[in-house]
Amino acid sequence: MKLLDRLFERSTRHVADTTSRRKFLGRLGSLMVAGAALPVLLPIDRTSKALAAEAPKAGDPGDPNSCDYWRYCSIDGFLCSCCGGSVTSCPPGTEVSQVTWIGTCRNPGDGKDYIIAYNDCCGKHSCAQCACTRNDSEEPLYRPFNNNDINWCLAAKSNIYNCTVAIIRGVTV
Amino acid sequence: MRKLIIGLVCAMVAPLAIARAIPNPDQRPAPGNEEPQKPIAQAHYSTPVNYQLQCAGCHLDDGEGSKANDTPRMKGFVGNFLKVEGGREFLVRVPGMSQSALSNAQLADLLNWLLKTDGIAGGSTPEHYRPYTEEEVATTRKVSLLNLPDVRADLIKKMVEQGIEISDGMD
Repeated sequence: MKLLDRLFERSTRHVADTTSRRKFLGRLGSLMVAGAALPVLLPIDRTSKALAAEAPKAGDPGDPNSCDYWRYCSIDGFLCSCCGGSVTSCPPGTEVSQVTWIGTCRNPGDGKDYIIAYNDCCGKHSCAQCACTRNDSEEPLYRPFNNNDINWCLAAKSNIYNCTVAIIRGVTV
Repeated sequence: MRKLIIGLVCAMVAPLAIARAIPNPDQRPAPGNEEPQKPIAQAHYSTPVNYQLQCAGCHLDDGEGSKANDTPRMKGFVGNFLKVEGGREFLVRVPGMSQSALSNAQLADLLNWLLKTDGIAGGSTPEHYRPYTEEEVATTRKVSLLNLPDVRADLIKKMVEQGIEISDGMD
């Protein structure tokens, strides 16, 4: 027992003699700063985010992840393309409401008016990404079937709104 | 004391920061859509396009409707309204028709298109069907339907009395 006592006393005294508390704090501090900066300094491929903005295609100009995209000319809500879905599909775990409202948008690529359905995706809480409000073909609330202020999840199993898609149904003729 | 002030400032700023996530009300029209859209009554779209823009959102492409939000099925059924007294006027006065953005002529065309035997009404349209005219729609549309549920229930009752099968998807 005495041997163990002496061993520990010696080792702690040795540590106390050879190290300083200030130095330890300094080291710890710099380690924390370096640790926080490490993910930024590591050579990670960061082009994926830049590529998430889809390149404009001929006849379909614009970025589907931006409120400025022509198909979103009457959208009011969160873009499903920013929420884990795409322009035309709901994010996983949500259900598309079949009942929706339908408007028109002009495609600057060919100057034609397209029929666009703004189906809501429902069943998960608000996605809260890419909030857009555009009202180019929307009508006031007294014409509810052409209004985008309504929660169009009203025909889905869950009425909780997650995000909105923009589906081309045809060209106006 | 200083901590309390900082805490209060944070609590006051937080709602503003969240409010910033609400869409910007000054947003400009989408590129290519700067010119205001023509009202549908002046746009001269075809009747199927008018159906898509004014009806199909709720009644769906084939007229199936959606029971979940009280949109009746028109498919294979809507023509039955012409077989009972008051039904012809009812079809013009229902909110979706009378309050739509369509002109009287467009509405008459839409009704005749719906009631075609190879259209959404299917075989439910009576044999001696007299197409709607712009004038008829104009005079009928002006009279508002004050009690939609009761008027409709009454028409359905008359259909039942005639032995017509009720397949409007509402039961």
